[in-house]
Amino acid sequence: MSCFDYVPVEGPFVQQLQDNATTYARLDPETCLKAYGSGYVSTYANVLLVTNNTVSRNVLNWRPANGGTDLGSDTWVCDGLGGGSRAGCYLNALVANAADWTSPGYSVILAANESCLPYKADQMYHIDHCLAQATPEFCSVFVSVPLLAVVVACNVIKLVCLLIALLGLRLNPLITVGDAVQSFLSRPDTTTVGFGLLDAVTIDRWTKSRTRQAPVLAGQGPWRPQTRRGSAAISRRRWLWCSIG
Amino acid sequence: MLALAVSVSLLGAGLDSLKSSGIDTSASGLLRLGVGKLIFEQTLGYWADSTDSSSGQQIYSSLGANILIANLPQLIVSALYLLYNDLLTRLRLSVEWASFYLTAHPLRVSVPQGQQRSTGFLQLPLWLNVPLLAMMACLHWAISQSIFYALVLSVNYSVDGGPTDFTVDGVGWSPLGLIISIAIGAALVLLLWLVCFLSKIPGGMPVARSCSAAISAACHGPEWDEEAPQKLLAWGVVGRGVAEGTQHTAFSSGDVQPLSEGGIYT
Repeated sequence: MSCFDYVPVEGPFVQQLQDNATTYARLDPETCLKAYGSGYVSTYANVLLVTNNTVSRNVLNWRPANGGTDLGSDTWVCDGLGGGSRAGCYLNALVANAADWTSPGYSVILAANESCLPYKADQMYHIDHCLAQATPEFCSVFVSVPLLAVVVACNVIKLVCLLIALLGLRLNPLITVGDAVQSFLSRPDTTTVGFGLLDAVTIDRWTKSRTRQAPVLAGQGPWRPQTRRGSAAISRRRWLWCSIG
Repeated sequence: MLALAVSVSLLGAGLDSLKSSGIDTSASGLLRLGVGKLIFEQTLGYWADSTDSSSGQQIYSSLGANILIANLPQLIVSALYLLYNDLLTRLRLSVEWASFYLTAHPLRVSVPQGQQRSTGFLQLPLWLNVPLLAMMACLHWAISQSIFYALVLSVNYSVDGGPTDFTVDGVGWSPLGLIISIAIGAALVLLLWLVCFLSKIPGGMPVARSCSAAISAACHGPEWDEEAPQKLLAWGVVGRGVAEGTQHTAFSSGDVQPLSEGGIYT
């Protein structure tokens, strides 16, 4: 009688695992640690750890990890370090010492009266290799119809806007500086007559001043031939916004 | 800069949390974690069991919220693209404007007539726009690998290899992806600054930016020059000014003279 009989579900399950062990992939400790120590395990399912220590029973320990918060938890590979918690469980260190990988087992569980004793901490067993159940790849595509509809609708609206911009340009739009120059040369702006050297900074200062008095000399000051940095093309406030972003 | 600062501080906080969960945060450890892969116990957002326990139906109640969280950075980066495009557009606009000083060339307009050129491009030439778009595409990809929506289906391999027994969804993140994103973002900001501070706007014309008043001030050409917009144009001294002792500057299809330093122009 196996001690796992006292757990109605897992008992036969462990037996079944052992029965199927011949079909499982044999992994050396290093590969095994890497496969099961990396977050969500998607290429392998159940795994049997095989020890080369001399043992009294054929099943020393088992650990269910199917569902709930245990899914994907890789703490069990650190069981040999004690406690099974993630603190101090560094996979790189484990992998580097894969040849010394150990896992706890329970040598005595069956009591004299053939009832199973509760689990107790017991000795460590040296892991020789793993037998891992390779899983078939499982792919599927999920489509959220409402979200897809929103995306399609947005693209349709965008397309319509593009078409309107492309085909609806019957009026002469002001898009480039050339458009503006053409427009102002054909219909001069009388308010700026006599301000030959008016620049954007002056206009900016004037529109922001409280009195809004016409800058008599602004744009009529002495000319200086200075090459400017590209940043002169951009107002300070815009620089601020861009830099914050 | 703010976006970068937030990303860096999030990365720092994230790495701290990884470390406290006992995950290797050395360079090789982060490489092993990779990008776009879910790290167990390292998730953001609303991480919820998406299976209705009574019917077994998948309900994905948290789908909307998690997708919004996972894609918020993409929206911010899209907004930044508009900002950067705007910045470079203004720069090129000023360079184009300044190029008219004493040098006659056609106006670049939307609907060309006469000797005018058509726009071909809005303002940004390909050599600026293509790298900008390419870097933006890389940034969007890197961010999609840094913060992503994740759906976990568990496959039950117990006794009968039965069907999925539970499903959770949430937002996953990747430290390596975040590092790549921050690197691309920083390179982008640096290049933008370099382009803006190292490029030169030729002197001569006043910097009009996109200010219509300043543009209009340069557009009081000689009276004889009625067909000017359709011809080759240059900007410079075109004749006597309105005030005593001044000269007049404007766009003209005729001869334009250079300005002299310290002179008063109207």
